[in-house]
Amino acid sequence: MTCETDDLGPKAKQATRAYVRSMAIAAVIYIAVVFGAVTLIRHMPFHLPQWAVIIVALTPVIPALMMLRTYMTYLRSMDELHRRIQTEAWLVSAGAVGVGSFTYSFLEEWAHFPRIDLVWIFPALIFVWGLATYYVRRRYK
Amino acid sequence: MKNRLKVLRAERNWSQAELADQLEVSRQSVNAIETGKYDPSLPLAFRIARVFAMPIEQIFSDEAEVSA
Repeated sequence: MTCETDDLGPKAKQATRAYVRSMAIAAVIYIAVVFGAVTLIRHMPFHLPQWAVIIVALTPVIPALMMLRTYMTYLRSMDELHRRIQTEAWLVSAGAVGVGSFTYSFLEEWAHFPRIDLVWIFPALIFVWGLATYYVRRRYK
Repeated sequence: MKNRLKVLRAERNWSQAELADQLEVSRQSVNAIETGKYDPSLPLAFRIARVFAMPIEQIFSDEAEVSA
């Protein structure tokens, strides 16, 4: 997710372009890696040894780290107000998803609610961060 | 914290965008500082003072001090 370019500062357009390009590259690599990993683990006629499965299962972390680095670079290109907006939005997201997942785990365990995979935590963090960014930014307008 | 940014900017006929360019921040930052929604960091406050060629205390004032 990017901010409104015109409102970010003089260096914003260039930084946003670099951010979008790097994110797009990381996303393409992520899709390729996940597709390759699923093919290797589930659809190959032979069984991979456990250590190889662990390595293959960890490969999507590489593009995820690339995305994180891209985001950090983008964050550092912002002015101090927008860095604060981002920080507050992440805090809201971490709090909401943290408390939400903590609460749901009790419901899962004791009230037999449907089990939700841990893999959804990261997308939930990003989704709530996106919403929080919108609302936090409005506070400073 | 109170500030005279809007008045000083108007005296110089600068738009928010023009001031933002000089300070190397976003227009939204200038607007948020002017409306008192955001207090700038000390380095940014010094930059603002340099742009207006004035001491910081002539631009920013402590609200508690003003109301006392």
